[in-house]
Amino acid sequence: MSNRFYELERRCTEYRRKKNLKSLALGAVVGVFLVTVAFYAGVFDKSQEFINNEVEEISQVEEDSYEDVDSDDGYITQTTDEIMNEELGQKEEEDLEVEHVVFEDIKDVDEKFVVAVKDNVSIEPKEEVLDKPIVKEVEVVEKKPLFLEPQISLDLLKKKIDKKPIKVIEKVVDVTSDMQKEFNVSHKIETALSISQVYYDKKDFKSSLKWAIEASKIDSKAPKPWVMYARAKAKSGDVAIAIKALQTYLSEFYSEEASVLLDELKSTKRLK
Amino acid sequence: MKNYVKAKKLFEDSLDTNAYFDSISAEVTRKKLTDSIKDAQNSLTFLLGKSGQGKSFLINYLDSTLSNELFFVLISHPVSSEHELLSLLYKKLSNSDTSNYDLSDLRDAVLKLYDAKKHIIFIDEAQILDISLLERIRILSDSKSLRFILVMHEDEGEEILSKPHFKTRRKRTIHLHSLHANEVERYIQQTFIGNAQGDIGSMFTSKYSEQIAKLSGGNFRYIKRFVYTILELLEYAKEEGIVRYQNLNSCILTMAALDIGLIDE
Repeated sequence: MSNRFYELERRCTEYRRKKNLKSLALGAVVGVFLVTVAFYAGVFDKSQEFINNEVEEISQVEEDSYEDVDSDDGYITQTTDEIMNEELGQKEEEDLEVEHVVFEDIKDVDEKFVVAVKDNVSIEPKEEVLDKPIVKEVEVVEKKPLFLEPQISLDLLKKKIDKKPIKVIEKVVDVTSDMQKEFNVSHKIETALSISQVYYDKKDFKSSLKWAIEASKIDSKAPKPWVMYARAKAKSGDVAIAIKALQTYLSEFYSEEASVLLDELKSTKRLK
Repeated sequence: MKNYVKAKKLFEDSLDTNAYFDSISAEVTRKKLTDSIKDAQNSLTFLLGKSGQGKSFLINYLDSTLSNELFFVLISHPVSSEHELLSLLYKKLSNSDTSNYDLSDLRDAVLKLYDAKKHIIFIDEAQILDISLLERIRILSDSKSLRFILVMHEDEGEEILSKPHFKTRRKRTIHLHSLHANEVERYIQQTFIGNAQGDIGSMFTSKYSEQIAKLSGGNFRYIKRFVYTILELLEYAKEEGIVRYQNLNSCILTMAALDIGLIDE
């Protein structure tokens, strides 16, 4: 009985060890199976894919925004995104240096000069001599509407925009710092829109556009950021882009406010 | 004080009818068999069940309970021919020698003898009988003078019954099924407590009884052997003072299952 007992004990230990290993292996197989099934069943599919696409496109936009390419012909070449970002004040460094741009009467300005003034510095124009006029070439890449920012007409952007040398004078802007601090904490669309509205009221349309886009990033389907963007853009003189932005939005969503504004802008354009 | 020697005896394989356990399946089968025996029109019944399910035990139990009402003949050893079978039946009832009879005379004598007496003839392990003998038994039962209950293993019995000469004939088939899991627990507890072994019985909790039921498949013989082996191991551990096995645990249970081959390694 002694041998039998201890032999059985040994077999029992061995059996239980094998059983545990089998359970672990089975668990692993089941786990892999479930993950595979979940993957193919599309648990992570559309929403994740959508987010990934959005993130990718935003990354591409941001990447494009920070690439300046000097073309061989001496022209300063900029992409659509660069122009947009420059106009909308997305280049923070530039924003620090040039808060606002005012077009002076170019008749009195030497074509060879452009004047830039740094922020919070005594207003002493800094002069640079340009050998050639600045020419901005727009490259348009056709892509799906990206709802994180308003779209720009392909036709409008497929052209070269000549910019004559201009005299730039800095204007210090009273930034609504409290609201921005609040936005940094709450990250609410209402706050972003309020800031945009404040800038709009102060006729700082560039900042207004920037905050309209910030609002749009929070909720790309909301009509107000688009309307705000279009209003600011129209006030900036880019009525065509404003119209295109609203048309882009209304092609996907419906908003009475956006629709009314679109009609107004169209009639304004016709009058001009 | 745990008395493993006495407790083990309760689970030895025996045909002691006092240990009859009234499981649902056993009770249903007993009722059907009793009805079949009392039904004069039914002269051939098959009792099917897996090996160790308790068929032989049930026959013995019926013998002990119905022997006052009718004449019981239990043939538990194999017979090889119709002559041998008829000689056996003749001797059971008349205590006379049959050596002077040829088969035809013997058949007539047996039929005449049993026709006059209320009886039932059980043939245990009938699946081992030659198929021609089974056919002869069927023909004898058709006379209504001889009434048989053939006890067979489930699988072989089903195969025999599917043969043409049985398939088309009037017969009754009764199945004895295994115990349900909760019945296994009741059986173990009832056996221990009914024999003043409650201390040992208390070690067989619902959890262990369920495992015993699962591993034994509710088979009566396996359950008995399983519990017997567990008690044997516990007895040894007690004698040798092996502390970790002073009470029933899953390891002891696994050891017993391995010992009697209920677990494949």
